Amino acid sequence: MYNNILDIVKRYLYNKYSEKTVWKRKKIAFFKIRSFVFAQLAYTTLWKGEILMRNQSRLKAKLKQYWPLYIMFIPCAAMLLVFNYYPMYGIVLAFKDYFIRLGIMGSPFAEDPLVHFKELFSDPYFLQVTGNTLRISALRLLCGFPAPIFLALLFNEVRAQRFKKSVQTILYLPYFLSWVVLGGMFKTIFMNDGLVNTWLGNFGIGPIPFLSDPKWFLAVTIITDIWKNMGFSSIIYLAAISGIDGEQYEAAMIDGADRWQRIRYITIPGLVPAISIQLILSLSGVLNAGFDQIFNMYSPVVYSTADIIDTYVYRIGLGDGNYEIATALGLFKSAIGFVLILITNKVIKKTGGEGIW
Amino acid sequence: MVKKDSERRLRKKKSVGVADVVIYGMFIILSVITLIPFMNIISISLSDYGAVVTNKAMIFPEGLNFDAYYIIGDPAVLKSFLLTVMIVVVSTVLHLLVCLLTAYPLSKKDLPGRNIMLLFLLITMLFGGGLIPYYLVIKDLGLIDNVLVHIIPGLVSGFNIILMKNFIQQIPGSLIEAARIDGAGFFRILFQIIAPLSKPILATLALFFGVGKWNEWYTTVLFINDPDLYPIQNILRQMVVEGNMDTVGSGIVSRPEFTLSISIKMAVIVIATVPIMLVYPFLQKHFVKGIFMGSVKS
Repeated sequence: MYNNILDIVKRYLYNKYSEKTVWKRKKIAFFKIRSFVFAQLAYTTLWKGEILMRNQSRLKAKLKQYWPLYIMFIPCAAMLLVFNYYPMYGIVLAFKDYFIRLGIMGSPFAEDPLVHFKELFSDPYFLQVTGNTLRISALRLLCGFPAPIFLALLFNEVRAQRFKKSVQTILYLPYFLSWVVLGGMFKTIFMNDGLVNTWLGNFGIGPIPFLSDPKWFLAVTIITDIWKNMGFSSIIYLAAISGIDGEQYEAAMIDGADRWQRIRYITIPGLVPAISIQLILSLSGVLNAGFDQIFNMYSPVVYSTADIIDTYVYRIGLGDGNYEIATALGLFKSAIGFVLILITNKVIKKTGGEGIW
Repeated sequence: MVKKDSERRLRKKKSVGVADVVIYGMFIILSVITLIPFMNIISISLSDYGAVVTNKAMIFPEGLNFDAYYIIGDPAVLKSFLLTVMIVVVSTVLHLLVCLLTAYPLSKKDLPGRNIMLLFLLITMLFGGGLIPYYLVIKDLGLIDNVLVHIIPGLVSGFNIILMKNFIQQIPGSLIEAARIDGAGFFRILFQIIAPLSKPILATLALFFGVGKWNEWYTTVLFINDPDLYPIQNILRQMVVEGNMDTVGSGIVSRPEFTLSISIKMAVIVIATVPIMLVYPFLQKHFVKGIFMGSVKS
């Protein structure tokens, strides 16, 4: 009896775990998994594939519908390719030795690719010129940046509309004139027997060589620049002021704030975003220092303070045909300007304002 | 009017403080300071020879004398003036056209590839290749010493296109939808609906671009060598900055002997400024509105 039961158990166990059955079970499991995977794939292909195909056909439908719009974009794209993207390859000129006959691509790379940069930075006159640029930019920022803000604040306090409009008309005008016109104008006004010196003569002040003395030239440059741009630049701040909620003013007036307190606690904080953006833009242009103006008003006599990077590069780069240095400098300025924008933007954001992005 | 009167009466109740007087006074001084240089120039151009030489013609002309303005008849000046007018008008019209054409597709948010197109535009606003390669491209296109060099390269301005794109996005979609239902194609929508509605922004852009074009002198210095093709700014520049009167004065119509070169120079300055002075007051309201729209939104 026991032998039979043992036999039955043995046979059962043998069948259950024999190689044959184990293999059979594996086979079944394999087929189960495979059919499951197939089912999944089929599902994905049919369902998501349908979405993919739908998107593709949506895309095709849109392209079919919107094709005139692409045609409209063609003139712009063509212009940009020819005049903006194609010249970008020219940056390599800063690292090459340029031979006119060979063109930019044909000219060989300089032995030391940075030779032009090194030439530039080791030239003592270049350092002086950079110093001039920075000095002029700093003066411009110091004197010229606050002026439009003050102007906008004061404009805001004027209630007589017709007076305001007339003054605005007059003050916006100089912005629209070129520095050729204004250069000629100021050369006449500041010359030794011109308007300003004659007027000063009434007070016994000797004729001041405004345009030929390096230090006075700086003063004239800054003042005329403010004269030209102050009015127009104030528009941006006026627009910002008009965006300030009127209720704040009403609440302040109810609380008894006087004009100056209102300006200090409502208007100026309201101007901070606009001021930040303008500051970022101005700081990124610190190496520019106004080529247009200076080029039309300067003369060799005042080179010691008035020669800025751009005017120097114009003379030696384009005048003497030193194309590599001119390109190197352009590259340098773009890089610095870009870095400055990033830094200023970050700093302003960190101190709580809003940056450009 | 009634409302204004009662408002005025209310305002009159507030007393005019010292601060007000100071502020108004300051604006008057500023306006005068802004105007005086112009008056000096005009008066020198209109004054008698003797007065100018003895520095009597400071703010008001002494001995009204229009001789200097005969320079208008000088062939070099006249030709240059007309050439500049043509350049400004043609380039402004074409520029606005390209702006419209480019801004419209970019204003459609569901246009496939729109972001790439915008990026394509934005990159050119931030980076450039430098002056020398640009010069070589211009040369290879045959635009050296060619009037077209003022018109063709300046057709695209990323900044203006973005301004216009923002403006178009503000136009109520229902108007465009209605036109679409009526079966209008994109070009028709652009020119018959969007363009008329965009008049404010078009006027603003036209003003800024036009004035900029009128004042542009650097392009000529770089790319044009033939003095016959100089715009008015460059003729002026030659006379005033370089002190070179060679191209001018060879054909002055009458009484050249008694006209001082400085009076002539001032006259040319005035001539170069007149178009801007004419156009400016009418468009002042447009550009102020334009700046307000642009900055308040961003």
